[in-house]
Amino acid sequence: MKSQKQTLKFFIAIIISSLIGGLLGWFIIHFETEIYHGLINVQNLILHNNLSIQFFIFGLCALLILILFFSAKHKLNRLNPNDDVLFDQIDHQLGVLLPLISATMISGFCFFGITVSNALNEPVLIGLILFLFNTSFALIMMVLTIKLTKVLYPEKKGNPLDFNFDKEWIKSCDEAEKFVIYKASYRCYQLMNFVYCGVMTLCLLISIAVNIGIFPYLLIGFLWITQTLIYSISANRFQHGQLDNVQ
Amino acid sequence: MGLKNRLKEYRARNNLNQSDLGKLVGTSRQTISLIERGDYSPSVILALKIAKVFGTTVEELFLYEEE
Repeated sequence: MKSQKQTLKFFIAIIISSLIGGLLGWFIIHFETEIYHGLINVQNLILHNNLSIQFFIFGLCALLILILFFSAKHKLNRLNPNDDVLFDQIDHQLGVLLPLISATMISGFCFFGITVSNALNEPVLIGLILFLFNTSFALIMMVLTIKLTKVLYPEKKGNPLDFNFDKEWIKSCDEAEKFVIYKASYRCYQLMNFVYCGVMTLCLLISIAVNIGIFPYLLIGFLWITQTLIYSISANRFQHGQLDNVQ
Repeated sequence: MGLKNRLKEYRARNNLNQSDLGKLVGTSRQTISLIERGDYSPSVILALKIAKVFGTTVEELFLYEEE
């Protein structure tokens, strides 16, 4: 009975998705010119204001990163070993800080790509300096944040500038921390499958109005297949005796 | 169905904070906190280590309750 319900749900979801897809397709065909001009306008807006957008985003991110970092450092200096509340606060702050630094660095790469592709219309040198500044800042802050994390968790090992940092860090994690990493990684894998599917559909829909070429499909397809293969090969390897959880 | 524990009670009785207990059993303070809150079920090895620190049995510290 439960299995029948699930099958029914699956087919209803497929029908609803088809209807939404059809509706979006119809919408895109009917408003093709407006969508085309809208997308071109967005692209022009980014291209013409690329450096200003970069200044604004990096400035904002840098400010947030510095505030969070020094606030965490200040709290850490006055941390009493019995103060569980303050400990959790610092831990939470560091948990926000690391992904924020990573996102800043990734956006730096993204904007530098835009600068390079717009090389004829804007000075690449300023873009390059901004990119290098952003990457260096993010790297320094990443190292400092990891050092701060190591003060909070003295059992953690690994030098962030060492190529084997990931291996050493994970080795120094205890069983609950490894369990958290496993849960987060699997959630990421699951969600990324939806994201790839969604982005591929979006490209298909946009291509009705704008010729986006074949590279978006090749790139998304490559990333999707790579992720699936890495997951499957790793899972297979772990299932056949390389789990390494003997204590 | 769930695993309940008396970790906090035993910790208080032995005058240990979460960091101290973590150091004694080789885990982080955060892990002890997760176990105490019932958000994480420890492995057999960790449960045995914790019981050993308090000089008691695993059954005394952890209670498995079926609904």
